[in-house]
Amino acid sequence: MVSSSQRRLLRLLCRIYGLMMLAYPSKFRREYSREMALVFSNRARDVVQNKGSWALLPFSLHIIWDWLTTTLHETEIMRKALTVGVTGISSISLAASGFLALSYVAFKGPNDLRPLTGLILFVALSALTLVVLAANISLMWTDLLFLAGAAGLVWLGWSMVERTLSGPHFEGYALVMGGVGIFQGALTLVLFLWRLSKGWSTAVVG
Amino acid sequence: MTQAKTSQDLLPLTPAVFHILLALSQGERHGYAIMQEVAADTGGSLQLGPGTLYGCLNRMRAARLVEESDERPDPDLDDERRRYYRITDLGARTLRAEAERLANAVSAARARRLFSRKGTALAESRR
Repeated sequence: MVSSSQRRLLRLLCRIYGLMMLAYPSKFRREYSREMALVFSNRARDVVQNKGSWALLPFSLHIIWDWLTTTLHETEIMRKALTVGVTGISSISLAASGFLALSYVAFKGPNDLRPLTGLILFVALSALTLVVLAANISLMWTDLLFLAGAAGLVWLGWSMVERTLSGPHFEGYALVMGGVGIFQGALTLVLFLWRLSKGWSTAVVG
Repeated sequence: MTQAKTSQDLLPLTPAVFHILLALSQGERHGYAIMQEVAADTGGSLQLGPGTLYGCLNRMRAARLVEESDERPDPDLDDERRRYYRITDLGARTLRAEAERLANAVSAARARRLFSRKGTALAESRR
């Protein structure tokens, strides 16, 4: 039998656990938070009924340890997925923009390289992203530089899409490269913002 | 844990995954029942927290070791928030393969006389 003071204590613990669950990734939370809250409250009630209120102390320590290890593990999975995503899109972007830039130079010659500015930004940012992720470099200034580069890529991609949609000549490659730029820039922004916020030092590919 | 083609690809299992599969091998269970059965099976030495339990179930569902059950007991007798899980064929095969792997490891340890007559490990009995 649970007394009214114990019931209040259990309600408080359930509320605290509800707040702790916010640390899990949203997809995981959507899927399991209701059940996790139910399991927590059932277990806490059983602990009080069988062992008394003081037993909630080791139980709470166990729950905190479980929360710490599993939130780190679940966010680690998301970080890895994001890193793999950025690596994939950067590789595609590097190959496509490199091919387009070389084709331009081959057909038009190296006299006027101004139209290549956008493609060179694509090549540079994609190559640098791959190097930084593969070499596991994580410095504040490189992360900030990447944030600026990623924002530039989103802007560049958007302007390419906007120009080809509103201009007199529809250019398929500009639409595709613009779309890739927006997607790649957005993913890179999210990854490096996350790295900065978490203070990651181990952004390993794979 | 990603989707594997054979049960051998998933070995060795973590203790938590092994004991969850073991609990589900006896029939469908909801999360709290799995937690209680794992604690009982291990004499209380493995207490799964909610994060560990549902993290494992999430990865086990992705690997097709377990699935959510559509059948529910009488709603009047049960909390509607509860979901029931059951072991799949791949899960059962993986559980058997892991049990055999552990049995072989225990046999090897026994052959090297690591156990006393009562069956406890020597290191434990010397304490």
